[in-house]
Amino acid sequence: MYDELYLCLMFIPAIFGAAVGMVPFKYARCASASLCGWSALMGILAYPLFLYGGNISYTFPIPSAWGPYSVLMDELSSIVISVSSIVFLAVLAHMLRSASAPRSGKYASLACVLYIACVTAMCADTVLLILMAWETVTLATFLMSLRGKNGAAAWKFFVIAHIGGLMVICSFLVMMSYADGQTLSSWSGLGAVMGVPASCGAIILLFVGFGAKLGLIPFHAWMPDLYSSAPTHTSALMSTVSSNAAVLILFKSVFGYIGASEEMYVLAAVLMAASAFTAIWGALESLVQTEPKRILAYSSMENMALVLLCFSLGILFSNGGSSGLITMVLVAGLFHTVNHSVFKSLIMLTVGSAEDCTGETAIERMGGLAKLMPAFSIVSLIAILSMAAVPPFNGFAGEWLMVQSMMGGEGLHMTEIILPLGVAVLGISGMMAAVSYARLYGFMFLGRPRAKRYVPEKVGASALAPMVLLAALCFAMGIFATDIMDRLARGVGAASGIPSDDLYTAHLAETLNVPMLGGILLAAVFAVYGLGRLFGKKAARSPTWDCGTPLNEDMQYSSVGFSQPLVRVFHPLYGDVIELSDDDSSKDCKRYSIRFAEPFVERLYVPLGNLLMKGARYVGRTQNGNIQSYFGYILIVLVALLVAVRFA
Amino acid sequence: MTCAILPLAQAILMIALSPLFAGILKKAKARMQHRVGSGVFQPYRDIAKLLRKNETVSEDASWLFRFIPYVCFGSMVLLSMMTPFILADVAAPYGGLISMVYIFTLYRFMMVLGGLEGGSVFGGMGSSREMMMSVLIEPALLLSLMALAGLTGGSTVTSDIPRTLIDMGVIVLAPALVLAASSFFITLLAENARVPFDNPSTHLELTMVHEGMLIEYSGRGLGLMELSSMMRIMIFASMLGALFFPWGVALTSSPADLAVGLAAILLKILTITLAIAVIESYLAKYRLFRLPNLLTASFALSLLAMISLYIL
Repeated sequence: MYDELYLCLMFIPAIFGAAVGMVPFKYARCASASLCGWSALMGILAYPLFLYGGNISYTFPIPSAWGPYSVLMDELSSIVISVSSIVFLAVLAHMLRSASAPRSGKYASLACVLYIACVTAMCADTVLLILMAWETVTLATFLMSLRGKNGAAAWKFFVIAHIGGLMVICSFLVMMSYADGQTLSSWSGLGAVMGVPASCGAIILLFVGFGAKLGLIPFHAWMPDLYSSAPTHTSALMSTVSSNAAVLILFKSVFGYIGASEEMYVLAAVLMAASAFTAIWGALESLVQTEPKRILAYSSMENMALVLLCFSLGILFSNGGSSGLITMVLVAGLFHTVNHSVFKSLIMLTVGSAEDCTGETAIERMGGLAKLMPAFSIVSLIAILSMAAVPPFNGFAGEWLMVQSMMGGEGLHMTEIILPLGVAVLGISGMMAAVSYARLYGFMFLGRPRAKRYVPEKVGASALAPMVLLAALCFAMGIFATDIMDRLARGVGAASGIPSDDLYTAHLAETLNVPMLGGILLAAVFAVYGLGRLFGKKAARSPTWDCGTPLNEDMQYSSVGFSQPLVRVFHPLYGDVIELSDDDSSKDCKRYSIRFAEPFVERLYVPLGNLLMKGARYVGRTQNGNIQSYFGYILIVLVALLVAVRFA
Repeated sequence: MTCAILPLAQAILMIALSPLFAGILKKAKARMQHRVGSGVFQPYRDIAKLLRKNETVSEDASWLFRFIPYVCFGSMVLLSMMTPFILADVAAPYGGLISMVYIFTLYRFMMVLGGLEGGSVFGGMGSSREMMMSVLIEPALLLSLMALAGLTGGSTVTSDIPRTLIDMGVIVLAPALVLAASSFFITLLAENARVPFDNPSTHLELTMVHEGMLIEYSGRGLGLMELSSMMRIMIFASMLGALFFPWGVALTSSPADLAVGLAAILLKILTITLAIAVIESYLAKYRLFRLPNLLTASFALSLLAMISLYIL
């Protein structure tokens, strides 16, 4: 009854904001961002309102060729919308206070468009609306990422995202050809109508299509370049809110509309292999990156690959697993998605602020920020710990559930060897990612400052507020993990029709007790700390032990050296060193920087590009501008047509 | 209320006992090398001395550096409440085996960050090597615990595992258990910076891993870090003793059972300690880049444990 009112309050300010931002006046940016902030604030209410009044649905009274436009927020969508809105709000608030954010109103206007598109994509209930919203998400992020000289990176994203978008559209068209009607919520159990081959085809298209956006190999080529060259807030929104939308649509399509069936185990194994490889690849590559944002790009890829791994396990478990087990692994994927959006946005804002403060983009030139900005470094430490899946933060709860559900699947038919390998993948990629986060934090915040001058004033206290909000959310989502898992499990049950199984949720609640875990940990830490403060004296300060040689800022371990042992262990997987540059800027010291080639770019995209250029030149030879040859082509076509007509 | 007091008592007992086993290890090594060695209670004296002394902190270190020893120690206290020791039911069910793995990660992660504090080159090198090893340890550790969970029918709750294994009787001595336990033992050596992974008694910069990360600590911080690493080996040993070979762990809280339980776990930890002493006396530290082979062997063992679980 109040659905219309709520949706109006949410969407209309953002639409106005999009319009206001385009008007060139002094406060355009502020006005537009505030209107969008209001919409995001309303978006946060989606889940409370769901709890109060059930599904929120509305049909626009505008006819279209493919049925009416309608939206439906069920439990799962409303949870994801609420979390995404909090993230969006925090990023917007940080954007207003950030020194490096684009100052134009158009950027804020695009943020409004992105917000509307993401929320619509998450709750759209008709085919046309979902496809339009998804396309708008791509366009808005593309436009938001255009800045200065990063055209190449942005266009790379544009092309790859559209190849993915094409696959998504194809898949929805295939599904629609079997369904009777365009309302998505009436599509459940389509797999039975479609038959196994068609559903497998549709699922592959969906995985690859959304995988292009999430960084599935080999479609990840755009990510590091774009994340490192786009404005911070674009990268933050792209890796969190739009990834949430992609994962949610993927989940609803695969498990809600098509539905996994027993015969799909080969498909599941293939998808698992692809996502496991992506996870390990992302973690490996993140170890050798020299810019914080590139590290984060590969880490996004790794996290999203783990989510895809969970989804493919969900398909695998359909072959004989209990409904509780399937629910658990799907919840693990979705929970990790929302967790990822919280800690990844926090760390993106952190890195952006650190770049503002140091004026550098290379990790090798940062360092020592923790002494300079203690509050800032505490917030960042929470993000890093959460990403490294350390208790009691939310990343831990997500990965715990992943491992737990994989171990719970033991003994199932067909999974004997797949599941241990899955756990090994989780272990090795999780730990490698943790190494790269330790490297990120250690070389940005700890040690001696490596850059010449820092401007800590550029990160004001007001920019810290949204980051504190996100850090608190990291902690809260970890502490209340079991409760959130329960809610997600109910949402999964409602969206996918998999009957919920109380056995597993009850089992979970007694196995994982994060409040106790965190409580005891914090109590032990602070009790010993208190005792120490009570009986101890003030610590003395002295220089770092230097073996008698005074240390300068270059005489500390470098980030390249830090990951070198691992690079050496896994060296066959890394590409060649493509850049070993020697910086001659000063006479008394030499700086060498190193960059590894991304093998997929060097071995796949470059040869493919060369091949296409060669082909184009070959075809181009026919276009010689000679009128006789064009007459010749017409003659050949006519003859071919006549022959075809004669024999057809 | 008992659910919090008993684990706490167990944690205090483990804290109190851990320097003793460190002393026994040192003494056993000394005797095998025909030295007299210091007394078995020397670690208590060392820790007490360090805890009394004042700290000296690097000028370049931030707030985090002073906080790390407390986090490391706190995570070890938490872990010692979660592993079965004398009585199976005491182990607090806050997240089972998987959480324990992640709490070990917390400890290692904080220690690595501590190594990078202050811009010390030795610390950086130690951190870097520790991280290399941990990447290779983690899958083996998870898989050996998964094999253990598989033996007990998928349960990852630490307090259930001893009971289930004892109830299964002699049938539990399947290849899977032995393989998983051997893999876990290699992990134990690697995690606790023992020979052949690291030499705990050296301060030579080219060889050190664990000691490298601790080089900037002093006084109370160093005392807590040393105590934490003694507790870590104790926790690993009691996981091996009480989870993989649970015979003797008290299932009921009758005095007779408790006495047997205490004797059994002390005997098991003593055996493991002596085994480590023998290994440390007869092996030299491996070259850093030979370690991946050993860790891969550990991974292969645990994978074989998983496979044998289904085939045999």
